[in-house]
Amino acid sequence: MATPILRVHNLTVIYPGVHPVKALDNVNLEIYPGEFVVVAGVSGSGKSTLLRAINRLAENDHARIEGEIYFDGINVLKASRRQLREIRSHIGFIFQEYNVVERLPVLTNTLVGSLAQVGFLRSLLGRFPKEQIERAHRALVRVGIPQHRHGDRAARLSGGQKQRVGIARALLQRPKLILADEPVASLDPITANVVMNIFKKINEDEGITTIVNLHDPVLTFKYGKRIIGLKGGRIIYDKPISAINRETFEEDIYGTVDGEG
Amino acid sequence: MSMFEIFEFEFMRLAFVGGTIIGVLAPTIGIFLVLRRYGLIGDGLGHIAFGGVAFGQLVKVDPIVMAIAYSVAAALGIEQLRVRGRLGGDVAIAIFLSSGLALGLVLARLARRSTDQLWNYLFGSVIMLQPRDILQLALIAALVLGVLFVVRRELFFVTFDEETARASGIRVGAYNILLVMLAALTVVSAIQIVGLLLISALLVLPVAAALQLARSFRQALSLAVGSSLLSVYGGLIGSYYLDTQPGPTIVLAALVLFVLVNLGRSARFRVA
Repeated sequence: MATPILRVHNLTVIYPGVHPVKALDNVNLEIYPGEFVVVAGVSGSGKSTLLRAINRLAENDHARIEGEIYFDGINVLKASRRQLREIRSHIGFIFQEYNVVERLPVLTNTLVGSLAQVGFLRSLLGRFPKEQIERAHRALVRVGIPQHRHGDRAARLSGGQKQRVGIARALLQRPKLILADEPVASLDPITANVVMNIFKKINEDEGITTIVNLHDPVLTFKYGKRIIGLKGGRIIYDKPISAINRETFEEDIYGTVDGEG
Repeated sequence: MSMFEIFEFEFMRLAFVGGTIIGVLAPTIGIFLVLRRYGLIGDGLGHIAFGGVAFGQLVKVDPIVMAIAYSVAAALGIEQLRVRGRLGGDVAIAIFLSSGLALGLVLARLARRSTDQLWNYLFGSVIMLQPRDILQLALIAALVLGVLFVVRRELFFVTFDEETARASGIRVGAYNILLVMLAALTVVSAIQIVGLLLISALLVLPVAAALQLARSFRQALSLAVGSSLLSVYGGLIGSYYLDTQPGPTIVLAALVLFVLVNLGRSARFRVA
């Protein structure tokens, strides 16, 4: 098999404090180029922490990250600041709450994705390079935001549309890896499916490796081509969709749910 | 009494030119600070710059140069404390603020300066204004506005959404430090006209007023600059006729504008 694009080795993440919390406990996994992976688990199982550890965003929550993470062969946890920015620029990150700037137009929000790549000298010219502006338009149309809305303030968009802008913004980074942290948790079921289909299509068309966190078992089963189950910060399940027993899958990942029925 | 009587004095003409520069500069950097919830940093930097002024007098170095050195160094310190020290930004500012003022007062005493002169640095005084001071102010303003213009997009995103900026590989730390350093330069530039202790009001009040009304960033910026200039002109004219100090009078004018904007806003909502 090909070399993994992402290799996580003995990853442990601790949030220190009076009562330290071990959010991830000795996690090991390998993700190969082009995979579409769903990380499943209830809230508090460590899904967010896993994604936020991969690009070291978790450090800003004062987390202590131990172990090894290799992205494209580079040890992320040992990377210098410059290397880390380079790594981050290759990873498109999608947030549950979209993280669009409501006061700014849709197009400008999308162009943020190219900011880290537009060099300082280009920046001096005072405008985004024309090429980037056209890429932003194309990316937005691609995720289903029609051209006539690109000048609208992001505040005027619905939740689903904001998340599409979030995806277009990530695409502008020309990412090698997309990390989506509960991208549809704040959306209604129909919109959630529309957005999940965008992720699926990007993965199929361009082969961009994608890891999506989901708490919803229905969506997990519907979209995951490989499903990783997290519980209490440990991996308890890791199977390709073809090997998954539909009957027992929910119980395998989430355990028996008390008080139901 | 002619309305233009006040322009017969050279120092008043200089004060208006200088006031115009500060009136544009302060809210332009202020809008980034306010949106970033750094509203108090102007206060902290002003107090620290005062320590620099007093030290400059003690060792006979241009007080303005020393004030810049002090406040830029403190800007770095505040940012480091905030990022590494797990203290809130407010605590970091509070530490520097009180120690800066204390240091200034002790040094001033050692330098045997009269209270009047200190008073002028703290609250502004336009009578001694020289063309050279305005040139200095203009150079600082050109530098700050120039840098702001060049990095405005990056600052935008670091200001509005630090996490997304960080996740996409933007140098968030560097831009934060740059912003605080630009704020330090702005504070010191206002030393003669508004004074070190009151300049932070001009960083915050016009922006706060503008944000009540504006519907976009661009609109907020123009409204903030507009209301800041109105306050500066109103304050300078008021201080001349009332024989008060320009700094406090300008700040009170800005406060009046802020209150009017808020009253106007709530009246409109009551009608609607």
